[in-house]
Amino acid sequence: MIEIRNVSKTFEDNKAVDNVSVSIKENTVFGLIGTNGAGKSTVLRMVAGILEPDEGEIAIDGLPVFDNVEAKRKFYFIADEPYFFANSNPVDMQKYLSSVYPEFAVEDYYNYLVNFGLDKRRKINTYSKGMKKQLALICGICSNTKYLLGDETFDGLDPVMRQGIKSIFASEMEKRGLTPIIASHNLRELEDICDHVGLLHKGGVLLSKDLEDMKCNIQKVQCVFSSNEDEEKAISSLDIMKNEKRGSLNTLTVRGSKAEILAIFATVNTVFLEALPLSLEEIFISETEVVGYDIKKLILG
Amino acid sequence: MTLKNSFLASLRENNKRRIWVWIVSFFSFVIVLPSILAIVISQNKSNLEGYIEVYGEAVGTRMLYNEVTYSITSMLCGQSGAAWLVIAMIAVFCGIQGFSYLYHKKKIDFYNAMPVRRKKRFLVIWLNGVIICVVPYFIGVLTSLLVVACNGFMTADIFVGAWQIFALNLCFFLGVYHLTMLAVMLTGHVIITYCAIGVLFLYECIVRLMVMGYMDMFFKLYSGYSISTEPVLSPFTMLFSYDAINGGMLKSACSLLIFAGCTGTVAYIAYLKRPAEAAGKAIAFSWPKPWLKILLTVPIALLVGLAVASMVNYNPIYGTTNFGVVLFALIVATIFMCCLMQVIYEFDIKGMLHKKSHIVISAVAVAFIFCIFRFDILGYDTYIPNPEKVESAFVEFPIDDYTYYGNSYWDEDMQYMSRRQFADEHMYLTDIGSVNKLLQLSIDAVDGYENLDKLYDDTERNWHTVNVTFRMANKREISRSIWVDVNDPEMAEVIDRIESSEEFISGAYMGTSDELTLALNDENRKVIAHFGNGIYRVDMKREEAKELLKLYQEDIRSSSFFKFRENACVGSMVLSFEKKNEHYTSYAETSLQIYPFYEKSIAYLKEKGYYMDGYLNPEDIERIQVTNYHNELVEAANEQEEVSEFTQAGFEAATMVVPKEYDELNDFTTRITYESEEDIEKLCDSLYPRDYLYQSWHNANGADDDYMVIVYFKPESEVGIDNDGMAYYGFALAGVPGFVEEDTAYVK
Repeated sequence: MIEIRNVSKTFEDNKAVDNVSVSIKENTVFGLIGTNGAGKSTVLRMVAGILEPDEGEIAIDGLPVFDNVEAKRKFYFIADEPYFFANSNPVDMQKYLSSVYPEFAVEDYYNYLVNFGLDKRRKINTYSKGMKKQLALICGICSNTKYLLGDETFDGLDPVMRQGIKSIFASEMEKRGLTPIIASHNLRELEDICDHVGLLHKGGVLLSKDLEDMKCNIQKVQCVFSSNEDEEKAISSLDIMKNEKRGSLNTLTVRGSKAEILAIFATVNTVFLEALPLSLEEIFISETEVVGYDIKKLILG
Repeated sequence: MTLKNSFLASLRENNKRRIWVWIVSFFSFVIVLPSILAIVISQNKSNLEGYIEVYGEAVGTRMLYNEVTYSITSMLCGQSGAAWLVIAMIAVFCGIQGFSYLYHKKKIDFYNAMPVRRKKRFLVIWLNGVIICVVPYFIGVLTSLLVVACNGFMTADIFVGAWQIFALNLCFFLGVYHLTMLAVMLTGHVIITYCAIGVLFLYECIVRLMVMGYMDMFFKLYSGYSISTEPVLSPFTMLFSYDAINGGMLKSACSLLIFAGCTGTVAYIAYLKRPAEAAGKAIAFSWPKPWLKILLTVPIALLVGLAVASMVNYNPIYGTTNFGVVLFALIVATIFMCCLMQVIYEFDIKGMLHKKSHIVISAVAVAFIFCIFRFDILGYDTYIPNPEKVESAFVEFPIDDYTYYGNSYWDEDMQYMSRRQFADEHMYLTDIGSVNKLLQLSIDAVDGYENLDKLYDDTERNWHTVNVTFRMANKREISRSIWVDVNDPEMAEVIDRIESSEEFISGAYMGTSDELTLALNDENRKVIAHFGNGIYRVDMKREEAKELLKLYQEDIRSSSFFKFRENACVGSMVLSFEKKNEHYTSYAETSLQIYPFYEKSIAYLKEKGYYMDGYLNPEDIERIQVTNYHNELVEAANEQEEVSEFTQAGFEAATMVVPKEYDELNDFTTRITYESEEDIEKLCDSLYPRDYLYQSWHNANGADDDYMVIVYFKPESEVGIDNDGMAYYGFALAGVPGFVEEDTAYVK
């Protein structure tokens, strides 16, 4: 388990991460999502032992991570812009990684290269951005570490490749208990792969929950009330995060389980009532809106 | 086989990314060094036939051997500027290239996330840097020695010398390498790293130059003798302190190793403390930024002020002031430097005026330091050392010296030294009271003038600058350049006290030194000795010179300032030495003046028949031409003309007519030639060789510059043949015979 306890980090006068505490369980896919500048990359770089937190602690399986070789052997970090040695090819990278990761799966590495269509003798600086991302992912997967830290991992991959990587993740999770931790602002990419989500906003954690719990605990309801009295009664009983009304149609984002919410609606008269599934993007917008990050404000000023 | 996670594997992996530095190092040491050596040997060998033809086989072969071994020794075993430059260049490349990943966020993310301890990564990169220099350099030296051996010039000296220099140069490499590493650790961008290397190498120089410049500008008694512009904390200074002739290699190597150890340790600590987010920034750490800015701004602004002061001739101690311009330059330089540093810190020109408080602090510091010098707040010009804290002192009185070019002083290897260096090595005055008294009299005398220009203009005084250096008990040396008027009775008395001391005599005259006695007794040194007065000259045998030197050493112990002043030099024994060394020949010369009160020396010269009464033998003289320029009339006429020129009418007249030639206007010259034996005999008693008449420390009056005397010798006389028939003489001031004054009087 990766434990992040009360971690803060300031760059000169900018507080990038402020008192963040998150626990990342093993054998899950953890999605680190957040607004731009929320501190996702900073948190991930601190987890990778690249940056030293100003305050707080980060431990991987109980081991402090900063400048700790034992802790670092447990993960592989893929930066948003992965680095490869100048003029190197995948073979050179394999040789280096084999020297630092004792469990590096050399055979799997070359198999993956073939499967992904990457030429092992071609210089990496002639690869496209997506190919470099694929190679970085292959390096990470084959390092055979317990955790895989990825910053904007799927950025630059085509949908087929994304799906392929997700399959590999699933297979590695099943095979050896890999725990991918992926930071991204592309919520749709994470929605179908993440088990658990940590939502960062302005350097702090807004929430950290299982995706299913999150989805189950926020509902989107469209309804037309029979009368104003019914509307007032229902609204006062519900934990409403957002209410949009067009004509007589109310679109409500409501906190609570589907059963609880429908039970409340059963006590009032409605002309029309429908409970809609909520996407991760909608949850993200709703949660950030509550703390003042209003998409409309950004668009309309 | 893959070496997994071992140190050697890390070294190998790191080396793969440093190929171009390897190529530079390999090319410089393994290809260029032996190739140049082979070319030099081959070129020298091609001279063999010519040598044999001119000098014969035995001598020619020997000459060639000496020439080639000298070239080899210079290249492999000596101080080679090219080798140091290459080593310094490779050290800088290794330091920057090895740790260049610290400049890039992408690379830092990659390396810092790898399961490699930072200490290990540092060690791997550091060690590879050393290997990149050591291995090719070792191969290069080995190959060069093989080239030498194959050509048949190998000697034990060359073999040992080459490896000694190899070791010394490696110490130098470590010094430069670690200083470069420190610059890398403190910065986050390669261009700023190069700037930081420049600052680390030059900062001490800048501060020293600034301090020396301001002391020179504001202190009337400033002496730079005990102060050097050479930075102490520089691997170059430590390396240059090694002297191929005088040795000191071990000391040089040890100081380089200590320097390398200290800078390496600081660089290592900085590496461990350096935050990853420093990549791409100008300075890696936040806390030293204001300090760095102020510490760079202040000396550079003061140095700019100094340069401007020199340009506008701002020199208050000489009475010239142009302070406004200097102040403006100081203010502009302070603001400019602070702004420049802030722009570098932020990589944004718009940030130039951020942190205005730093400009204010820097300006206050500049003003404070300027005032320290300007108003002599630390009391440099009034400092008199506590005699209890002084171990000894030496003074550099400008005593008369008639040696050719004045190079009278040299060491046991016949390397020339200045009078001050000789005094520094040989003079240990313990009568500090007298030295302090002289210093105090000088301070009081200088205080009596508004500025040094007024002091110079005071023609009634006979000013000399004298360097005084105190060797303090705490091993510091304190020097002052004081102003001494040898005509001042009080000063003259103190000078006499100092000059008559045994300690002064041992440290002021080459004739009393062991080095001269050793040279004269060393049969391996060729010596030419003669006695003469500049015109007349007699050759002496070596044994005679030895005997005269012994007597001179006894006589000079009874000398004093007043005795020298009262007596003109009667002649000098000049000793010229030649010593053949392995690869070169040394030459040295010194002149020992004989005065009338040197009784034993004069008795010996008389016994040998070398002494002559007076400076001229009337029997050798055909005629004497005396020219009187009547300088006082020339000056009076000039003054009168200046007055008339400055009136309006005079000015207009001067612009209307073409001026006459100067000589035509104010020529009052009279000339007479004496040919009778009687006149010549009378004149001989009053004439001195011109060299003996210059106004000097001991000769307070000097020559009467109104007169020029040319003595024409008889063509058949020996002195006439030696001096191309004539020689220049002169009269001492107030020593012109009455009949000459009458004969040369100016009549309109």
